[in-house]
Amino acid sequence: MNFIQLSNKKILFTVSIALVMFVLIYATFSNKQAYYGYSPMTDIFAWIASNTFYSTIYKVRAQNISNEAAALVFKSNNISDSNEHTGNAIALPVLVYHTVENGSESLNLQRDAFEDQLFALKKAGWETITLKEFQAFMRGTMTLPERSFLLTFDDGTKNSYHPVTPLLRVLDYTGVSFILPKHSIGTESHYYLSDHEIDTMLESGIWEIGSHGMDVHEYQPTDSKDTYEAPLVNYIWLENEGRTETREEYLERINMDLLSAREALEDRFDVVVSSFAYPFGEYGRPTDSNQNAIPGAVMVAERIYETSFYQWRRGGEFSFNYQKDESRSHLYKRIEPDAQWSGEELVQRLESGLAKTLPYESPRRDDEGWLRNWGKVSFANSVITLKAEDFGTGGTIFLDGSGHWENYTVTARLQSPTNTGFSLLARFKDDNNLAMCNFNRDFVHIEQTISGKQRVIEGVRGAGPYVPQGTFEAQAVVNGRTISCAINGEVLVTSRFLDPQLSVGGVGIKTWSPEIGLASVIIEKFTIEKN
Amino acid sequence: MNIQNLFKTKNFTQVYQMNKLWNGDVITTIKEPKHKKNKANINDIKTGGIWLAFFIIIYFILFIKVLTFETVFNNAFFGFYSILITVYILSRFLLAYFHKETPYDPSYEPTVTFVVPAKNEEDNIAETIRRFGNVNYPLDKIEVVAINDGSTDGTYTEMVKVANELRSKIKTVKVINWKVNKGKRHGMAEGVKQASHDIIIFIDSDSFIEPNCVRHLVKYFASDSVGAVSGHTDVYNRETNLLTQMQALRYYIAFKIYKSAESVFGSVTCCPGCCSAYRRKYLVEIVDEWLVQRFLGAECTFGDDRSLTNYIIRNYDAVYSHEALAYTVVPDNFKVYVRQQFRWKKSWIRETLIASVFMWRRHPLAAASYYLYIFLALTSPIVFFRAIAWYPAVHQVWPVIYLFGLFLMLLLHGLYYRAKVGPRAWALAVFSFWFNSVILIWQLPWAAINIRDSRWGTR
Repeated sequence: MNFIQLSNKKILFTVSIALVMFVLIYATFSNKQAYYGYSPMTDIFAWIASNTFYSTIYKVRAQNISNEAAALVFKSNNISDSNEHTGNAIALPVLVYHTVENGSESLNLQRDAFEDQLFALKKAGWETITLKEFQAFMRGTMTLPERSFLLTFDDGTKNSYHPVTPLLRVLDYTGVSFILPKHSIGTESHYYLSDHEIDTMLESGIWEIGSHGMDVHEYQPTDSKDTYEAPLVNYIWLENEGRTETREEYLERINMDLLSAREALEDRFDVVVSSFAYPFGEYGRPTDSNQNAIPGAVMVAERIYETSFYQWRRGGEFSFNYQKDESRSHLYKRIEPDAQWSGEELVQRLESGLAKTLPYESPRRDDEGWLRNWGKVSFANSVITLKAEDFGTGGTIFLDGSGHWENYTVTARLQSPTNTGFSLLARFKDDNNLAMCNFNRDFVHIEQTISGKQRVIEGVRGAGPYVPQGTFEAQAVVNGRTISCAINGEVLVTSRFLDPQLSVGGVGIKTWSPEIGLASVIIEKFTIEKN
Repeated sequence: MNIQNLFKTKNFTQVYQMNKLWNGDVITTIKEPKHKKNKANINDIKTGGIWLAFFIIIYFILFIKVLTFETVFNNAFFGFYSILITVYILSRFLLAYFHKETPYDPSYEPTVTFVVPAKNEEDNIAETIRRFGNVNYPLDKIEVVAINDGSTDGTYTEMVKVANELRSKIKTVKVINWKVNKGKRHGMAEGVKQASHDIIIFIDSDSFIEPNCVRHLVKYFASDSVGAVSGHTDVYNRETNLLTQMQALRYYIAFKIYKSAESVFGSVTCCPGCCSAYRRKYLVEIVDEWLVQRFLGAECTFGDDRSLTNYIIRNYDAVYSHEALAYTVVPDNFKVYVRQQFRWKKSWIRETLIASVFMWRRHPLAAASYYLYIFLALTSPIVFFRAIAWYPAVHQVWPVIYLFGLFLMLLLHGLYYRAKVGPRAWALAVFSFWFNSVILIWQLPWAAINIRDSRWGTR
């Protein structure tokens, strides 16, 4: 060691360089951990590159939109064009996305499609609200502009965050991410967000988080034959004991699951986690759910979370969540925009779901919000035609955006070309909760359906025919708990015992005949007026 | 020509020092005028920027290591290879930084013999020998032994001519003429036998020394432990083409970084034939054994310099003098270059195996570095094959990170060269260095297979 020069200057220089290196690398590394967790380097570079690129593009696009909006305000002020929807919100839509992919040839939502959808919403005047605002609105303690929506993302994947944030920032939007604590806390994943990334996410002020359950996001066997189902809404198979679990065991399991997910998130991120998103949109998909189990899941979720989200049953219910919907105070539906929808298409769908004001007259245009429950429906020459499918017995449509209507008269100018029966739906909440005037050749019934159980509460029989030839007018009048049905101005039947659960609700029409493929009704005019 | 070269390549202080020495003054340290330090000129700023880039590259390399740390455990062998190679290379720079500046002691002036074995070098031999008469050292302490090893050209004539010139300055100038070629090793051994002075300086017949070279070689022998000193050799024909430019970078880095790092522990593993000094007393002890060295039954006919150093560092220290400057002519033709590299790799394998028997007795850090380097050199072709061929073919994973990492490392060397030497096609040199590394990495296994084949041993 005679040939080494350990001068103070050299040692000092080396130590300084080492310290600077250490500090710099430590700083970069912890920053990287905070922003990207354990993402692979290639992904990080791709995100940095594409986000830098897109941020610039977004800014330009956002600037164009705000210029156009300014011009529009100027124009509408001059012409004083009365906009139909300018008031406060009565119902709110919730959108759910999963991942936003970056240019890969998959069926998943692509970045440009997502971008197009969100820009279109912004341009049409739609603004996001926070989860807290959503909850306050639903509690009735807050008013919001009519075009407000909640933007949510499921699973807490890296691809639901990194490509999304720059867009939200530019549009001044906020989002809610439903996290899987099992994959995001204390584990290192290349796919799910890490807890460091979620810290940064929460600090950004753009994001809130909710729970997506602990173990209920993975299918489990429900019988001995390897049938796998969603474990939150099914009794699972206990392999060791050779049986399915009992209801008590099921409730205990999901209670533990939802509770531990909430606690894990709250402990780690020091925020209140008051919302829950059903995995796989299970609640809204009755086909593979155990109908006996579902009420248990709802009960447990309600006890643990103030707000739960499920997948909107398209065709079974309104697309928006109504403020005054006491029957399901904690349960809200979410619309998952299709990856193929253009921005305009998404906007049009939300516009047609907006709460409609009375008096209302239909048909206006084919995208005004008639939702098909079953059967065939067509819009042509200002006429709506509702028919049974070729091998069906009938069809039902209802008007989206009418769920808040209270006391009103529905007048339908109709033709029944096959002279089959039809029903005017009133106080429609969803396809399991509604009232109707059922007109047939030889009877008129007032029927109500509560939780899927249909019952005739009043009726008249024999003095028909109640379905006239040619064009005629059918009427349903709801006023408090009173409902009456009329043909061509003549009241045929009235009841004062409408179920109190059906205090508000929208309108629709149904056609039905026991003969296959026969039922049909032509709606020339559909008018709803306040009583 | 020398002075012009110096102006091109060295900074002012060194030139100033050279001129002083040239004029016969003995100057050990030169202090810059004080006012100059405060005035940052444009070149200082540029060099500062290059050093900044140098440290930024280190930062990037370390940062990538930290980021990819978790992947080390995916495949322990390749993971640790990548960590070890980084540690090895960066530690070379660090050790080189602590290489000692040995002061020149005017009271220590041993006698010196230059030994020049030559074969078919009629173009360069005269200039090589002529420079011995221009050294900044008492000429009465100089002796020259030139051996013509069976040249078929005018080498001997040139030798005799220049020897006669020199005899006016230097008392003893011996020219030995062998009609039949015996090999460089025999020439060197003959030089050792003919020499009568304390220190022997071997100079290749295509290398040229600077006047102060002798002083800076000799000063290390003041310590009895030192048996060999390697001078610093730069490439003489650097400007010829890209290949020689690339070799200039390689030479510079190999000396300034890798030999410096070895020198810290007194265990330079190769004092190259182009310009190295040995203590005669220690050489005499081993020269006979060295002359008849055999490896795996075959006579060792190449890598004589590395082999000789190996004999010395068994018992003594070998160090590197970065101030003892010499220039050598390198191949300017790719085929010749590849042949030379192949020969070097064969001798590297042989001498590395021999030295590994005793290197563990040296300083623990020196020994650790040595065995680590063997491991890295032998595994690099495997790593290379995995990254370049296996992964792309089997997993469709392109070796972006591997090649980028390799490039960053070479860029680090290039920036060092750029900061120290100047902007001479350094970027191109780095790129060709990179390219050549990728090609020449395959020579090592091939050389290992052909280790006993001495056909390519001729120069």
